[in-house]
Amino acid sequence: MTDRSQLPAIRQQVTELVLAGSPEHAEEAINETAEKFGDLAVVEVLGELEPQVASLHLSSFDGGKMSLATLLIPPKAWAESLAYFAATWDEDWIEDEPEVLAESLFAHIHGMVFGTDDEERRAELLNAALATDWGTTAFAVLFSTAAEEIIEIANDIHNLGAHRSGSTTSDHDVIPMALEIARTNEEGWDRILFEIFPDWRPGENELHAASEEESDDDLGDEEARESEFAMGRSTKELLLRLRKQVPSKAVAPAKKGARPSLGEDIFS
Amino acid sequence: MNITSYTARTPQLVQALEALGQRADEQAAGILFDELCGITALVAKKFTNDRTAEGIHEAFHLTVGCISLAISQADIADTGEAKLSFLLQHGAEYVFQMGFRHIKELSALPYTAFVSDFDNDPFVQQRNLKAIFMEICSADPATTWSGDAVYQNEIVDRKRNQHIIDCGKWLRKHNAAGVVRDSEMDANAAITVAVLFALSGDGRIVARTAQRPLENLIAHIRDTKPDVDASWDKFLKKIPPEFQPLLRERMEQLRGTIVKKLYGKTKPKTLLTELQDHYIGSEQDIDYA
Repeated sequence: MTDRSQLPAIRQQVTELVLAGSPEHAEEAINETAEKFGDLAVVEVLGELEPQVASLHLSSFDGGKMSLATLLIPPKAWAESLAYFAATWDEDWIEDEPEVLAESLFAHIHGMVFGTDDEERRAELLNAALATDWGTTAFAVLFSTAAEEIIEIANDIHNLGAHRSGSTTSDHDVIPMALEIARTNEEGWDRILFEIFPDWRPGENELHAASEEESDDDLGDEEARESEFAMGRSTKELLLRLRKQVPSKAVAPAKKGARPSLGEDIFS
Repeated sequence: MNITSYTARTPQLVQALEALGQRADEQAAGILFDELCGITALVAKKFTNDRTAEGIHEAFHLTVGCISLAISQADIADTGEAKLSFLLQHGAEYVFQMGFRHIKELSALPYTAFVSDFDNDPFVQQRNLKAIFMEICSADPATTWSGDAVYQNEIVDRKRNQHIIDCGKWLRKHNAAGVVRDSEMDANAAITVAVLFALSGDGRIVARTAQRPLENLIAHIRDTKPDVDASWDKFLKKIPPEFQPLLRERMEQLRGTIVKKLYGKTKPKTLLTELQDHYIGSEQDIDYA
C-alpha cells in the first residue's frame, strides 16, 4: 500500500478547490492522486469527502464531461452526497421550471449510474441510493416526468414479474433506468412507486398520473375516482419533497459563555 | 471640555475593541465577533441588502454606529476599558438593542413643531426610522464618527419640538371660542396667535383666528393701547406652569418685532400681510369672518 499519510492532505486540497468553485482543478488533483497512489487511494479520498462537497463536485461534471470522481466514488458516499443535490434549489425555481430541475437531476443520476460499464458497481450505486429516503424521492422525481410509461411498466411488472417485462411502447429516457431498478432492487422499485403514488393499494386501485386540470374538478367526482385510481404526485411536489430532505447543517454548539441570541428582537 | 475631541473620535465600539486588544482575551473576542457578525446579518436583512456586498458593508457600518451610540449614551466612564466592560457585561446584542431604542425614541419625536396627518402613517414612521438610523449610526470604524453628538443635538431639538406641540395642543383645547379640531397644526403659529391675542388684555385664550378678529385686535390695540406686560401676565396666569417659560420666550421674541409694529403706526393692511406671511398664516382661517 502506498503512503497513506498524504491522503488527508489531498482530501483537504480537493475540498478547498471544490469550495473555491474550481472543480476542474479539484479533478486534476484527483487525477494526480490516481497516478501517484493508484485508484484505491482516490476511492479513499472521495469516500472521506464531506457529502455536500462531493455533491458540489459531482454535479459540476454532469452530462457530457466525464470525471474520475464519477467513476470512482464509493456508492455509499454518492448516496450521501445525493441528499445535497437539491440544496441550491429555491422554491420559486421549483415553481417556475420544475422540468429544468428534474432534467439536471436526471443528467446527474444517469451520468453516475450509466457512467460505469461495471454492472456490479451500477447495482451497488442503485442499492445505495435506494437505501435512503432522498434517493427514493430523487428517483420518484425522474419517473414522474414519464408517469404514463412508468404506470405501464409498473402494471407489467405487477402482472408478469420484473424479469419478464421490459418492452414498452415508449422510448423515454428514464425507462432503461426504471427497468434497471426494477430488476436489481425490487423492494426499492416498490418504494419509488409508493413515493409517487402514496395512495396506491396494489390490486385494489389503478395508478393514475397526476394532471393539473383534473385536480381542480369538483370534489364528488374526485372522491369517486380516488377509490378507483391512485393519484400520483406531480414532479413539482416531488421536487419540493426532495428539497425538504436536504439536511441542514447542525448549528455549531454555542461557545462557552455565549449568550442566547436575541434574534430579531434586537430591533425591539 | 474640548469640543473637537468630543466630536472627532473613532466610534465607541472601536475604542472598546482597542481595549479588548490590550486584554488579549481570546474567548471574549470570539464570542463578541460572533455576536457582531450576527447583528450585521440581521441589520443587512432588515435595512440594507443582505444579498450584495455593498448592503452588508453598509449594515456593518450601521452595526458599529448603533453599538457606539448605545455606549456613548450609557452612564459610564470615558475610557476604552470601561466601554469594553459595558459591552462584555451586557453582550453586543443587548447593547445594539439599547442603541436602536435610542434611535426609535428619537424617531418618535417630531422633526418639526408641526402636526400632520402623516405622522401616524406606519409607512412614513418606518421610513423616518430608517432614515434617522442611517443618518446617525453609519460609522466607519476606520475614521472618526460624530453620530453621538448629532444624536445629542437632535434629541434636544426634537424634545423642544414636542414641547411646542404639546403647548399648541393645550392652547387649542382651551381656545375661548371652543376646542379647535383640525388634524394639522403649526404649533409655533398657534402659540403666536395666542400671545398676540393676549395683548387685548381680557385674558382670553385664542389659538386660532381669521382675518376679521385680527383687524379687530389691531383696532382695539390702537384705540386703547393696553399695557403689554399687564395683559401678558393676565394671560399667563391661565397657562399651566410647564408651558409658561416657552410662552415667555415667544413673547420676548415678538416684543421687539411684530408687537412694536402693532403699537406703532404701520398700516393695518401691511401688518395683516406680514402676520399672515411670517407668523400665523397656517393657523388663520381662509374665510373672512
